[in-house]
Amino acid sequence: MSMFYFFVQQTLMCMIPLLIVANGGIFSEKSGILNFSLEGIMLAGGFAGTLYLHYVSAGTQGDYIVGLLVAGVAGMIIILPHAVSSISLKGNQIISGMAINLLAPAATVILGRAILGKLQISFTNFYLIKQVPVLSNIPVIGGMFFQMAYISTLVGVIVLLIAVIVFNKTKFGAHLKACGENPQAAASMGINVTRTRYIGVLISGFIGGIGGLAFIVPNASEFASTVAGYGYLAVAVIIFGQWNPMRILWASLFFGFMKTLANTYTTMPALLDLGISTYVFKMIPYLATIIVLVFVTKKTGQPKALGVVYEQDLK
Amino acid sequence: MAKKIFISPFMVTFVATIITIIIGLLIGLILLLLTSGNVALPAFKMIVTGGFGLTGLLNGIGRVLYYAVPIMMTGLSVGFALRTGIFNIGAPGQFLIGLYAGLFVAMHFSPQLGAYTWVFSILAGAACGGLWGLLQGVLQAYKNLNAIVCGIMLNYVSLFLVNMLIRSDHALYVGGQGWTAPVPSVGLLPSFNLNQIFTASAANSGIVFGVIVCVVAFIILKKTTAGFEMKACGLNRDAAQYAGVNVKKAAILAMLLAGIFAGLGGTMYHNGTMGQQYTLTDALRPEGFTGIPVALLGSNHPIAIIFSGLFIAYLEVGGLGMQSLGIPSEMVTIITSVTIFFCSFNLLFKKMYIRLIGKAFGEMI
Amino acid sequence: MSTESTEFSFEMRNITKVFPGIIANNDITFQVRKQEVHALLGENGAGKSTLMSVLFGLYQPEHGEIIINGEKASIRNPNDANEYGIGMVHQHFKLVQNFTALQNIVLGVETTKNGFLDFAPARAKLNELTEHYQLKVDLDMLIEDMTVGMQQRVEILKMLYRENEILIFDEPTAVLTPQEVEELMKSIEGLVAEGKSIVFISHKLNEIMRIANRCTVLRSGKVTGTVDIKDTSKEELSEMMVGRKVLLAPDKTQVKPGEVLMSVRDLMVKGAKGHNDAVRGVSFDVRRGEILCIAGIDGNGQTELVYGLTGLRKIERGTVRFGDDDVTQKSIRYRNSRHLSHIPEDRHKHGLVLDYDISENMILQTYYEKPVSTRGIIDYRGAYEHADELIERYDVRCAQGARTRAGSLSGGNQQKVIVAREIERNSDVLIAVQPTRGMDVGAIEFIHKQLLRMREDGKGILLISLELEEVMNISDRILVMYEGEIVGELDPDKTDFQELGLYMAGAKRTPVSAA
Repeated sequence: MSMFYFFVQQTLMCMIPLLIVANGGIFSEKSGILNFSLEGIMLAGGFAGTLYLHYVSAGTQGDYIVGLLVAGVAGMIIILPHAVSSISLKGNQIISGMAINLLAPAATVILGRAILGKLQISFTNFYLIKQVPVLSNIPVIGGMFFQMAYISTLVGVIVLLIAVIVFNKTKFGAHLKACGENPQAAASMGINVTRTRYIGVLISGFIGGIGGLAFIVPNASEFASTVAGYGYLAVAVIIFGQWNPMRILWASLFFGFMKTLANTYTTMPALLDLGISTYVFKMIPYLATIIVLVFVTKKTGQPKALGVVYEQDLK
Repeated sequence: MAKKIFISPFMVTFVATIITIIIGLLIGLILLLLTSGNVALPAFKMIVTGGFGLTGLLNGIGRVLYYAVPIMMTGLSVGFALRTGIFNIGAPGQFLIGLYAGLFVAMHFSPQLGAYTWVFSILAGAACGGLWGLLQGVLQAYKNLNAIVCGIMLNYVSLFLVNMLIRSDHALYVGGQGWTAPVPSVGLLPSFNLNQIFTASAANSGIVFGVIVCVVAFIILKKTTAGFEMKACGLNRDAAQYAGVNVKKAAILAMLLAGIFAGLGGTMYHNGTMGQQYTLTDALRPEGFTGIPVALLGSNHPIAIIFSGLFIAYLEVGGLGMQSLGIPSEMVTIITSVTIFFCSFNLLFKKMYIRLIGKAFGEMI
Repeated sequence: MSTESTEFSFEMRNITKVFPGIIANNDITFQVRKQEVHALLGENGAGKSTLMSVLFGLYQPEHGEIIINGEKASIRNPNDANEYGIGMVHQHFKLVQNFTALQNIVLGVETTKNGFLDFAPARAKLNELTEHYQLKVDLDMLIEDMTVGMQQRVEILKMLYRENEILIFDEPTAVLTPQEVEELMKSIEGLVAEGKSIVFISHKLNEIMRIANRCTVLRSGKVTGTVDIKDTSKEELSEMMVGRKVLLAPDKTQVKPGEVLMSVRDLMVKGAKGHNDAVRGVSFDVRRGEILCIAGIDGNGQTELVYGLTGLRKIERGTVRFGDDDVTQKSIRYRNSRHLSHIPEDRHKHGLVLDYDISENMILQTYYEKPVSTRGIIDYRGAYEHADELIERYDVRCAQGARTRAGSLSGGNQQKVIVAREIERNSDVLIAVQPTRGMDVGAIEFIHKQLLRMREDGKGILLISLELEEVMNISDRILVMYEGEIVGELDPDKTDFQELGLYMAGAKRTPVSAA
């Protein structure tokens, strides 16, 4: 049983950052702006967040939450040029997104060196919650979600809820979707497409930045200018999840599960005894995604105007 | 007449690119001034002079020629695919597969192949890189996989696949050290004496082959029916289909060629010079990703990619030189990424430039 | 308050709007009275769209002013226009396809309760409006599942929901059956009775004569006149629009149809989403020396029929033959190179590679065979010469000859490039899908002349058209398509718009034998 709990906890650590970042990404994509720069956003968030945690010494959960907010702001800052290029200057959205991804790791190195004088940013991990009072005693569920947990799990749930509610129940969500499906129609109804898209992209920067720190804290002991390609995986999760928050949950669960299998097989004697190369296990999540996509239905939920330069017209 | 030359598509693109490069450099300078205080100016000088001051002009050129080969090839891979409408983010994977195949031939068959080992290494690298690209092309064309997702996933698969193959191969793997054995000298690309002309550098015939490959790619796009088909698919897939082009076949052919180019890059990089040893890590080699800025800076044009490859290699050499001043070479990445960023709305610069030229000539007449 | 005294609902006075190289609006004065239907007539490029863009604040004019209810208005964007009560039904509807009617109508002015969307008040108001104006709309249906007619009613409801007083209809009848047009006319009359002012943009003279009180005619950016409909005639209006007398029907010689060139039997083709049959058991023959026209309202399977015939979409059942050659399972290239020319419906999607120059577009289907290429190498010099010759013969207006980018040509000239290419390929059968859509009168005459010439040369032509005038004027035989089936065969000399309309609406059908 403890093996099972361990596996669930590990899966959560893998999937929660993906869940957060991918759900952040759709705020941009549903408004019609490609967000290929999730990797860069995560790096910015991871950098700023760990830098904050490096300086605070108390190490309370409150600090972690402030750190997540700092990370979110950093994500917004780094995505801003992409927003300006894509929305105001009508630039190529893949190129500017890619530029952000190239820029981010280098910028964190330069800034880290300028601020701390070294390349790695260390922090002390005070943030693992061994037992959540009361809740951890619930049978099964307690062991799965409320022991050896991080507050980022809760953040993930909140982000998911926000995405579901915003896209289905709010005026802003309706406007965002209209801008991504048919911006000319939205504009003709008096919706400010430019402003709506800016807000969408900035929200995705904020949430993506949070996801960056939510990846670093449980999975690393220091920030070394990498988020292990999770931002690119989040792009894949969005497509896999067909731009739908709930489907994105399942897609990140799938990926988190596969990834955990790859990371933890050494602790499972049954798998270890097979004598399969460690690289095969490392390959599994990626191979599985390809195989699933080959068989999965072709219907996609891609917004119609995604990546298309918006020109105002009357026709 | 003079005006016509100034506003020819080539001139307009060229000027717009130069503007973006200058902006990239300026932002790099500002960052240096903000973060590096008194070494900022010498460091900036190092970048714009390619760090040639440190080791002499000829050696500097040689180093640029050496660094340019792999990124020119991955740049060609990305740029060629983009011309046909596919964003080949799988280039790092194809690069790695090519690297492995070249290494494998050199380590296992050098006794049989003798002095021709390097030729077969290159051919194997091209073939295997091409097959890896082909696999991606088939998945995209027949299974409707999103090119970006597919490329990202195959990159990781290739990484772990290559690591696994090397790890289990005693001829390749130096046990305990975590890296591969050096390539035997018959497996190395001939130097064409370039290493001596450009004193004590690692320059080799790879640069010559690289340029030839770019020219071949140019001819394919410019003159052949296959190129006509692939370009048509990239510009308007529906129209290509209407015209009777087999768009799936064209897309697969494009990915095959892109894979060949990236695979060649992998082999020519690793079999390029003495003493290369591939380290087994869980991260992809950066040359594949650098192909993206090389392609974009070269407007996806095979001939322009020769120059953008050389240019980015030049910056990288300068960046390495900058390390002697205690500044991380990432500064170069910042400059390239800022340049690429400004490339995304290149059209704006082009329009500004055309308007400017229009005005200048309008006033003169 | 001067608002009481003015007779005009709104006025645009002395509007001048200049674009680089062209004066789109040249001192245009356009005045619409309260409770009138005012038609705005003009060819493509006459300046109608620009004028309306100025009214909606998308363009700021160099000169001129807009007066609404007697007061000078400043309109900087579409929101301002909406504030002044101006609404528009666009020619291409501005609807979000995967939203419901209700979501589309309230878009931008949604009501909320505790921060969440609340559709109840909107639903109540809309139920009242649909009742009052007799506009049948299923509020919870997705737009993508609606007929075009219902989509248009959604657009009208959008304006009514916003309580707009000035309603602009841009080419509203292009996609409707004659019966639906009549319904629309009644709706418009009802709107006027309720005090709305209507601008009716159209190039269809019959409809203008039927519905409008007055008409302002534009030509090359200038007003050629504003006339009372009761004092004018169709002939006068068309002369004002084109600037010369217009032959309303082209000359047609008698050609006796010859042997069957293309024969289609029991054809079945799936729709865009693949889950329904868009073409259901269609059979017909195209003969040498005839123009066979498929008439019907847009979206009744004509597009899919053409996809099936040309090979762009897989045929589910049935056969397509050219003489003895069964091409049902053959590729696009096979059909293209042996039998078929195709002027596609959407010239930007299928017809042209906009970033290729004219010469490259001219060899779009033939680049791989001699003499255009030898052993995989294209002879571009030859292609340029060939293209230059066609440019001259088909009078394509372009700046740099064969090296002009197709995307930089005007719509009419782009269409000429396609027509030239398809006719010059000299195939036995030409499928022409809406070949004159969006063309001005001169270009329409030109294209009709080419089609008739091919017919005289003994080719077979399958014309797919939504324009009833065109259907009646140039075809030898008419097949009407409704919901994927051929529901009637008509002789253009023996039928009229009314009968055609009944078939198109599915209200009438007669069995058609294939041969």
